Amino acid sequence: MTSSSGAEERLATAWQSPRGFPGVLSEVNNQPIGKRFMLTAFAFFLLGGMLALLMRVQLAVSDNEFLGPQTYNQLFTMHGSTMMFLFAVPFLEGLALYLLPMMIGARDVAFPRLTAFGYWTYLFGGLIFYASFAVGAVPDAGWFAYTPLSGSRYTGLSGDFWLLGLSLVEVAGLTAAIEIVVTILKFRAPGMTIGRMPLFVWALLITGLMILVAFTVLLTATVLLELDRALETRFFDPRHGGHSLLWQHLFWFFGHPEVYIMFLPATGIVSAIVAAFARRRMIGYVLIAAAMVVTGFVSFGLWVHHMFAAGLPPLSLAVFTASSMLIALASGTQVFAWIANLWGSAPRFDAPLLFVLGFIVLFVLGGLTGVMIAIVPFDLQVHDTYFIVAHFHYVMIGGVLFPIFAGLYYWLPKMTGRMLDERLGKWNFWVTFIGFNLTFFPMHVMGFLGMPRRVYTYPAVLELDWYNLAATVGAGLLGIGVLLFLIDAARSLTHGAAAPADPWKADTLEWSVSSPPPPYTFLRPPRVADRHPLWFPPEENEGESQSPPGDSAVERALAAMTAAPVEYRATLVTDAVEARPQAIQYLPGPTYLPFWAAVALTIAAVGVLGKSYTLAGAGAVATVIGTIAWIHPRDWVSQRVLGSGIAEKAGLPMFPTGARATGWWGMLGVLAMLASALGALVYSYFYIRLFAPEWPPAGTPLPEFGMAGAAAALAIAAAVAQGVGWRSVRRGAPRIVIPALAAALLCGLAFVAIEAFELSRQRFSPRTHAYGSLFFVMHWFVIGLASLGLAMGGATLKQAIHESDGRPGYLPLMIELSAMHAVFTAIAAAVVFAVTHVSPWVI
Amino acid sequence: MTVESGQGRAALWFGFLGGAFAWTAHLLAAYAIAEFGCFGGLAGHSWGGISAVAWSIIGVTIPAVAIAVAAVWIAGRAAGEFESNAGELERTDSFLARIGFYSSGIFLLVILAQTLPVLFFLGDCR
Repeated sequence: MTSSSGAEERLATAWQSPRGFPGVLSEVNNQPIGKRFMLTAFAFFLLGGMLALLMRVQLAVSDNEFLGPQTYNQLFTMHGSTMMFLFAVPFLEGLALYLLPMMIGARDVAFPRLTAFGYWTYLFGGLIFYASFAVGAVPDAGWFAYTPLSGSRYTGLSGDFWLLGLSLVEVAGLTAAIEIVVTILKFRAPGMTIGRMPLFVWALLITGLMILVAFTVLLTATVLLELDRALETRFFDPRHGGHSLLWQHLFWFFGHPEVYIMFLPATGIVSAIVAAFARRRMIGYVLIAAAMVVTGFVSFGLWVHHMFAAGLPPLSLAVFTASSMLIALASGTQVFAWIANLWGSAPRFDAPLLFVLGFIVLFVLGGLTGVMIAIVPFDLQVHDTYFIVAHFHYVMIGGVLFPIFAGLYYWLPKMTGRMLDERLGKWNFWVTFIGFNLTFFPMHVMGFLGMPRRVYTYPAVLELDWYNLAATVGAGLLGIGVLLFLIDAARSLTHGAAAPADPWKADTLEWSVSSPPPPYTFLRPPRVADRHPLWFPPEENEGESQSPPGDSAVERALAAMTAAPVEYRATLVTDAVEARPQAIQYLPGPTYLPFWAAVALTIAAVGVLGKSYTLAGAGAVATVIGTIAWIHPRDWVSQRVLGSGIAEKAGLPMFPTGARATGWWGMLGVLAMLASALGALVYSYFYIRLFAPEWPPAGTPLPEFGMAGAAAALAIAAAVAQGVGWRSVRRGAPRIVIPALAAALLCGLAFVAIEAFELSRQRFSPRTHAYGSLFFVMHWFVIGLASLGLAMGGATLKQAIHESDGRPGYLPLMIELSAMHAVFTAIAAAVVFAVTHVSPWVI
Repeated sequence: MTVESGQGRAALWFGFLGGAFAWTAHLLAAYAIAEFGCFGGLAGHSWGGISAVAWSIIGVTIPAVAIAVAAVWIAGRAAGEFESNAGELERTDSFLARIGFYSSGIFLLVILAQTLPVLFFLGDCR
């Protein structure tokens, strides 16, 4: 960092956020938003922990009436939901959003406004969740909300609180996933090839990709259940052709990967700490990365092992047993690699490493019981007992919470600039470790002795009082452990020693900047030539690296970006595999738009909650308007960007297209989500069709091809027209662009009109039968897609007219993204047509 | 094979992701056949004393195994070539090849393990 302090100050000004309340609402920078995510998630963790303590008091002795069954059900539902949805994933996402740019050598994440939107959506979703206490409608159908118990017949308003609060949190999770994936793929420092990414970054990349699929399926499922509850559709209603088990399939298709969505980042934390404390090159780097790739895939193939007791064909169960057992290979590989790294390395046993060692012990125990319950006959014996409670707490607390504490002790000095107290840290570890084992180890035995889970009390005749009392005392100790951490963290803020830039002598880039880091993170973007960039800086790797340190193009880009630009925020874009400089990315500064968009979305959810559909509609419209205002291209931005001259200095473009553009990758992420939603709908259709005695149901004619086929053809025509427009921009023939975009818009409008007409003339409704529910919702899905396409197409046409004088700007990327969406819409329309109109004739 | 050539790069990515693709396709197919076949009446048909459900799973396993084996072989061969040529383990092509070799190997194992139960359910779905 060799620039003058004046340049540094100007750069800091560009990255500074407004102070006070306006700054709170308009902040978009990854560092404060990441910290907010973590703080909010930790607050929810404390709430969820208190609920657990109340439950343990209830269970301390037999035949206890301290809480009563109804309150127990509520606390048990809120505890599980809080820990799974409001704590673990958001905390890890917050840690990722905070650390990622620092770790990979970037100045911010790919879509700063989306980060802010995600945070507000998460906060509002969590508040809706807990507002249920204020109105006396606390969710009580379990954190898994099995139907029919969670249907409107058995669960009132509390079910809506669960579904709508959760939906907002899922939206937040999805936005963070897109951020994480695109940031990793496009913002890595020059030289940080995929073979040199820190293992924490590898873990986050795979986690982000998993969230895109898994959370979308859950979001789809929660929307379907809310439709059942609010509009009386019939997806999960067996009396009208629906199927209760469909919910379990969709929920667990999300639910099992969710375990690994929490676990993989935790293993990334462990790998980072193990490397830093062992102070040697990571042994088994490739094996750990390969294990994470395998885990990412195979975790999607395990969902049925949550349903071994649900009456599925034994052959299905056997297939899933195999993958459930073999995923232990991947987890075991990582465990052996960590042990190999620590073996003989003489590390200092500071608090981060103690929590890592505790993690290894507890996770191995949880993994072993996981392999046991992957075996169907064993699972059938213990499925509804405390053995399962013991297993998943060993995995969740041992496998996720311990690494989180390790990470906090490791990275808090970077975030706050203050060291934590090592003595308190060790006390925290031992109290937490002993308390945890005292709480959960006896539960294995309790399970064997027949203690049923999810039940508010147990009879004295089971003779389980001593085990339960021990578990309750252990839970108290666990609570004291958390309290010790809070005391340590609070004490460090006022009395902690000042943290140096690299207190652990660690290897990754975040330790090269001051503690706490400046808002722009890096004055000069770093260059990387090794997996351990601080231990083996580029100058020591002359002649070895793939991008030679002296590479003039790289040096030119880095020089141009040193303490620059100062007129606006920007970072370097590199290619996804080799991390070679490709472009400079303009990054937006503070704005209220993400906050207002999140408020509008929350109003829509509250409208549905209160059955005030006018309010819900108003909220939805405001969300759309807010989003359009947010993404609408602005001339002053392009003028300022082009006027700064940095592109010429760096020799890189500022308005790239294709795989060079972050927007292109963002759109790819959105399309992956939409494809997952479509897949979940198609699966639901055939699952319900499988169990239907007659399809379509009696009295419903087979669908006609005519109008729907024409609509699908129009969707394809719209995609072709968009494609023609895109090609003409690429070939520099702009006069065809406007007619092509206008034709695409007309085709899209005709598609929506015909689809709407086709639905209006059906002699059944979404309420008559599950067939009608599926038929309508699948077509609503493509109408929604097409409407989004019309908005994008309209904006692109407007931009094409605006840029028809040949000025450089956003048009090439806008038309490319619009075309990508149009192609997906055409594919979705064809799939929906094939499923709803062709398949009933064939199957 | 050089990684700079389009063919070499395609082979490298196939080695990296081929096993994952084969496993995903196999799991989806095996699940669909078991679930929909057993409930949907496919189990009622048999040939040579083996139910149509079992035949179908065996049928989808053969190409899945072939793809996974090919991925392991291609990734393994590429890893050997790149490392002997460049001698640097952090090279992206070498990294991709080795990660593909390990992960495709595990995916191959999982595919075989997933097919093993079929041997116990040759006759029907019960």
